[in-house]
Amino acid sequence: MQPPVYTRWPAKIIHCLRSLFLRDRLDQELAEELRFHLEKQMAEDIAAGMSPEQARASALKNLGGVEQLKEECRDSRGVRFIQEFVQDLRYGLRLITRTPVLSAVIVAILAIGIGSATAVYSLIDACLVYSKYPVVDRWDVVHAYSPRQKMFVNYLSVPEVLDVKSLTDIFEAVGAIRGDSFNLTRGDYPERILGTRVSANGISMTQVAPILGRSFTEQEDRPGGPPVVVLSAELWKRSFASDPEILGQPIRLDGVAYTVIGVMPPHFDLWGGELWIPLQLNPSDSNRTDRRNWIITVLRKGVTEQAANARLAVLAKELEEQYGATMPDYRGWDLRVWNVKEAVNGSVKPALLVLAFAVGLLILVSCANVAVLLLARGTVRMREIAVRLALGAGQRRVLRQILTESLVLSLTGGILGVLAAIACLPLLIHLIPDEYLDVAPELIRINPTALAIAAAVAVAMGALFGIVPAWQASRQDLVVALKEGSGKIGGDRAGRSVRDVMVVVEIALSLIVLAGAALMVQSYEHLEGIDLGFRPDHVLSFSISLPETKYPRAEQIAQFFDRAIQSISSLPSVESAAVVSGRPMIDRTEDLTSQDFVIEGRPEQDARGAENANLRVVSPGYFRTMGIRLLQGRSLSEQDGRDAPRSVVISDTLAHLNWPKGDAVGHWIRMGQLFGRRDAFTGTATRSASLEIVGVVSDVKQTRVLEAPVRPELYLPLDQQETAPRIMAVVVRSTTDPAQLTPAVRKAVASVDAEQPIYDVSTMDEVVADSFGPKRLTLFLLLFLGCVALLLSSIGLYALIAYSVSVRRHEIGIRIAIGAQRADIRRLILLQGLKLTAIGVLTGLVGSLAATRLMQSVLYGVSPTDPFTLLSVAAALFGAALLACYIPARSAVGIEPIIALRHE
Amino acid sequence: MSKPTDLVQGTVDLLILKTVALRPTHGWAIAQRIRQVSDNVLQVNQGALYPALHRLEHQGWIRSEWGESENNRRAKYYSLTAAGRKYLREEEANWERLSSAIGLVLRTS
Repeated sequence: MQPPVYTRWPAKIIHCLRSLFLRDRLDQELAEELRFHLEKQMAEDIAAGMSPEQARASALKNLGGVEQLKEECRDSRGVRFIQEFVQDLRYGLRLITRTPVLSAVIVAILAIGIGSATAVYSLIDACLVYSKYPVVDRWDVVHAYSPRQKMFVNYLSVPEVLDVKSLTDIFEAVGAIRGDSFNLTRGDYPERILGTRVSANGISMTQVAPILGRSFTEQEDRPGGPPVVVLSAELWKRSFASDPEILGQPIRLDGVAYTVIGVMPPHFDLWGGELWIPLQLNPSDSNRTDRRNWIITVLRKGVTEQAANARLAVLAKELEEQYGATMPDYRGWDLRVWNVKEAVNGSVKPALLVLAFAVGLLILVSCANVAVLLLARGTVRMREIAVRLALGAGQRRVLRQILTESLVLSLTGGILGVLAAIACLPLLIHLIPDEYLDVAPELIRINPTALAIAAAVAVAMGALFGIVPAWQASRQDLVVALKEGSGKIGGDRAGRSVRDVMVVVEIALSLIVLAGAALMVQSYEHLEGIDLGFRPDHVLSFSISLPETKYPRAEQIAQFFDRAIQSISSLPSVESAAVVSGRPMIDRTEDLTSQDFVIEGRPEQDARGAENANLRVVSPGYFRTMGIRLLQGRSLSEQDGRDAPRSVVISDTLAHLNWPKGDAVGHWIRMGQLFGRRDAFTGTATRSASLEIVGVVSDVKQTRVLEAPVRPELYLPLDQQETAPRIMAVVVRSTTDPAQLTPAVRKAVASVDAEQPIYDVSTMDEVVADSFGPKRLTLFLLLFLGCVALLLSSIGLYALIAYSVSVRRHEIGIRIAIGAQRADIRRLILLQGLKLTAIGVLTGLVGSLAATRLMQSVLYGVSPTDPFTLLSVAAALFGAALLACYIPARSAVGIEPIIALRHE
Repeated sequence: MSKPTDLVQGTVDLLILKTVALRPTHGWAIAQRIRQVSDNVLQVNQGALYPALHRLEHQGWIRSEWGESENNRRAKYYSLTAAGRKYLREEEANWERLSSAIGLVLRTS
């Protein structure tokens, strides 16, 4: 029975507009209409014989409450909602400005909560969830677990690449990739450029198209294929002034002309580097020990990592059966896929998750806090609401009004919070070292999802904590409420317990955040005091990479570096200089080169993995220059020359593993297989000669992950190597600021060979500081969050106690009037707060025992359940709580009974 | 429209529409008229009358204008709109159907 609507729309719209804009007139008309009705009725009744008074009463009675009737009529106009919303908004804003402190506190708490949440969420999202490449979820590295080295190795040989490539049932595409660096010669000065050799499908795998030209074809990826290069947008801009005519032009890399065929878009990242050239793997290469390539794959759609790993395990088993007898590195071998995103983000993930957790807790703390304040506020207004209900306001109307008010508050907080987040984010990004961000900082923006979540949190909080007191108020017994007045505590038992619970929750959550922060502080202190094994101060370091074309033999390499060291050592303020095939904590030698060895006179024990160690080739002055302590025997020296008996220095860990009694010096070892990348080494050699252990030096931290255990190390003298690394680092100890040495050092190296640039220049102090970067960031942010949480919960507690003092004025007045001592009153109020604090702290302690376990992986040298830390945090919280309760307690003591009792 | 008051409300609406269909009428007269015509059986609650009038006006079934009453007082007169007339016809038909159906049920069972 839907009536036709078309004819009445104009009338309806006009009516609506009239209702909206001619409200006053309509109200007048309504009043007049009702007055007319009453008069008519009275006239009738008087005519029927009633007295005027009787008639009036009867007419009014018949009509019902005039004001309610008016409300109902206004209601039926249908535009009421809009009108009232505007009204509520205005009323809400007026109330907010009338209680500026309370409102400001609520808004500030919300802004802090939402702001920090949005900023940190955006950051986490950018680091963990953001994917530059469409295939990123199916994009995996295949790496191998080596039981001898007790770690995953990422570098694999050409036959192994082809083995993986044959698994077409699980992989959509299999490619290979290898980092490299080149001397780019333009004009007079060569520049060292990091580049990546990549198989033809490597670039297309990312599904990112070049902005200029094309990527590689299969023809270019064959051995002997044409020398072609794809540039990064950054290199194109920096070195070629974004020349649009670059395609087809030759550029000289290590003296060879490469034709530019493409330019990738900005921020394109494929294993780092600023240019890409074809890998040109030789499919007939059958050398399984020459491992220098990463395998990159795209999983077929629908193939899970587990399925891929199961298939790879079968392959690994087959390889072990086929080659295990002759090649010990295949024994117990395993192959796994490793998601690229995981591989890139793995190291920051635990810290970011801890932060995310802390931010989540902070949001909960601010929620609880705002709840306490809004609930208290709502209770104070019980009487006002009762009055309005008695005067004829509809229950729903009152509910809506209070809701609007709290929404105004929470939305203001939300908007400020988002603004705070926008201001906060660049600061956060600034604090994080670049290499820990997977994305270019300028790509990290406030995440729209984060914004939506923040807005939702704000609205939900406003709605939830606005509606509870409103609902309570609208249901109260009007007579009782009006009689009791505002100072009632007994009738508010439910509201009170809700608030108490909120404060307890708040304190408990704050304790967890604080405990996390305190654990991080301790962990950081342990790390700062950690023994690095070397003295990083006053040491400058840089890399030199000698091209194979000019330095094909180990002696030439050794000679170059000997002369470079001499030239650098003769500089004023240089104490000593040395070379090393990989600097600790910066050059990732540990997964590039590790060496098997056999101890003379002992059976091989490959299962223990003790006879495999990192290999560092050094010049004699290395230990002195780096400040590495000699523990036993002697250091390497000039006497360990080409014709002298072979010598080796080992690290403390290696000595302890194999010679627990401390008699390592004087034993002989024989070198076995060299693991990992060999392209860094020139020539090949049979490593059959025996080496005498001449000394033991202290362990040196190898990676930036300071808490990681160190692997055993072998130090071999450069002069005695048949195969010498082509890429070496030079370390220089100076008496002055090492950073200022750079130009002089550059000149000194140029005096030996002007074609060899130095690159990767940094002081060892910087290297160490960098490795503290992410820890410091997590620590800083956690401490910040902890302090905010402490502040918020103190405010919450203070607000609650202050509120309860204000509603108990009357009661306190009576107590004082009948003889209670001021001290009693103070104790009464303090106890109320401290009881809540105690419950909160206890709950928090239990909670943090569970929560801080999450932090296990980011902690060093301190247990997540460290009782000292937990107790001191509890004490700090108690201190803050005492202060928060003391202020209202003092004001309670100051209550004058006469005034308090008259106040009613 | 599925509240239990539907019938009552709908009925009041129908009676009002029917009453103002004859000539423009003011609120008090509408109540009076309904009572008189129904021989005092139907008594429209005056408290419900005015909200109903305003609602019907808002819905576009009736319109209002100010006019002079019998004793020269300003009064608000309600009259049926074209849409309202159509609506009233439909509602009357519905009502007929409904009451005859109820009658049928009462007679037969």
